[in-house]
Amino acid sequence: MTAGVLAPPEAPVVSRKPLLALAAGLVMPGLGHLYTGDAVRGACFLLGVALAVPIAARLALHLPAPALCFVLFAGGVAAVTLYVYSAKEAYRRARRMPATALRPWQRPGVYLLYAVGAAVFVLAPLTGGVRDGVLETFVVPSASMTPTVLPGDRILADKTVGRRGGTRLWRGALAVFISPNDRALVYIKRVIALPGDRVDIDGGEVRVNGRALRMEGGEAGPIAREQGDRGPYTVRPGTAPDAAAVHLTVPDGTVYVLGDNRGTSLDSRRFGTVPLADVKGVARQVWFSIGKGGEYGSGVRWGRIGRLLQ
Amino acid sequence: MHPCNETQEKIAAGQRLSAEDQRHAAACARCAAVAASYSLLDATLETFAPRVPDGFADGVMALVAAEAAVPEGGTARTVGRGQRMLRWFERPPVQLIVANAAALCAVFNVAWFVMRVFLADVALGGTP
Repeated sequence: MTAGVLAPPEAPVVSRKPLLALAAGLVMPGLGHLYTGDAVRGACFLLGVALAVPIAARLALHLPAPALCFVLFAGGVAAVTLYVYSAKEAYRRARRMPATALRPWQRPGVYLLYAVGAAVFVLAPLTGGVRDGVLETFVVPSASMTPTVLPGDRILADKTVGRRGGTRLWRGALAVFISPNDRALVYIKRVIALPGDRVDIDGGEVRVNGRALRMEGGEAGPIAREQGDRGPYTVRPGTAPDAAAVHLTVPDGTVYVLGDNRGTSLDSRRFGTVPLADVKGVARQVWFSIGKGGEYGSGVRWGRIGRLLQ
Repeated sequence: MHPCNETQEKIAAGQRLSAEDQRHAAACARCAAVAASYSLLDATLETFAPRVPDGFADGVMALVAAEAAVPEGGTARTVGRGQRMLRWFERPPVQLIVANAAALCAVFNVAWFVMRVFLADVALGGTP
């Protein structure tokens, strides 16, 4: 009659240490909840942290262009907030919960497996996927794209180019692509002509399909404006000393690119057309900019943060 | 008190019946029935002899020892071996180390996973 009452419980009954729950929650989102026995809630927090930036990145591409870097940053802040909140909630939960019997999976080995698995199979693929297929940042070290892009600019590039449902290239787009001469290098240049277009470059004058790109009379000066498919952009006209005249039709599957700083840029005039498959993205916005002195200034260039690239 | 009541109370309490009570119980049909039912109940209970598991006494003593080891004013409802193994965590230096390590992990995770999209791995090449 009394055997059932006196028998020891099958699983040990323990209280959860709040500080350990907090530490576990900081080590990996959701681990604190796993420690307190609420695996489902922990998994929700992990997914929330992992998906905040990818969702913000995809959303940002569909919002007005100036919002791009700010929406992306908001996604990052949301992820961090959720991360800290999950750790705090695990702490509070551990503090309030009575001693309970441990579940079979509440073991150190399972916690370790969760932390590693969450990093390798959830966070890394989801956040890495943003860089691979949605948005990626690049640092611009050279002046070949001045005055549009300055040395020290950190730019956000739309990487959905060429993908199903993604952005399509246009004349005037700032393409980020793998250098045809050295595949270890990534360049940023302006797309002047698309496959099938006729390109004629003679001195400083660029004509595409027989139409001069230069606007407003075409007088050569320090700064000039050219017309692209999506509006005008600014270039620094010039001719490389050894540049020969160019007359060609852009082959299928390639684009013709020029640097905005025409006098110094290493571009299609030297290495020919660029395969579309090597175009990694289209530069959309400057999200941060810091100069290292000289002509383009030093320190953080606050005025360039959020500047649209066109 | 009525002899029946007195006798039946003694039967229910399991007390030894006096010779007079035994004679009454034998003569009284109601008291005899009560005595018979309690005899049957006792016999049935005998079949439910308690079975104490192996190591039960050691387990109880370990729990008592663990309870006694909780510091005065402590809030831990310490029970079981796992909790005893983590008692080292109560030490402030260990807590400090664990807290700092966890904070470092959090900073790494935020930098490497959450904000990684803002960290440029690739510097664009081009003309100097």
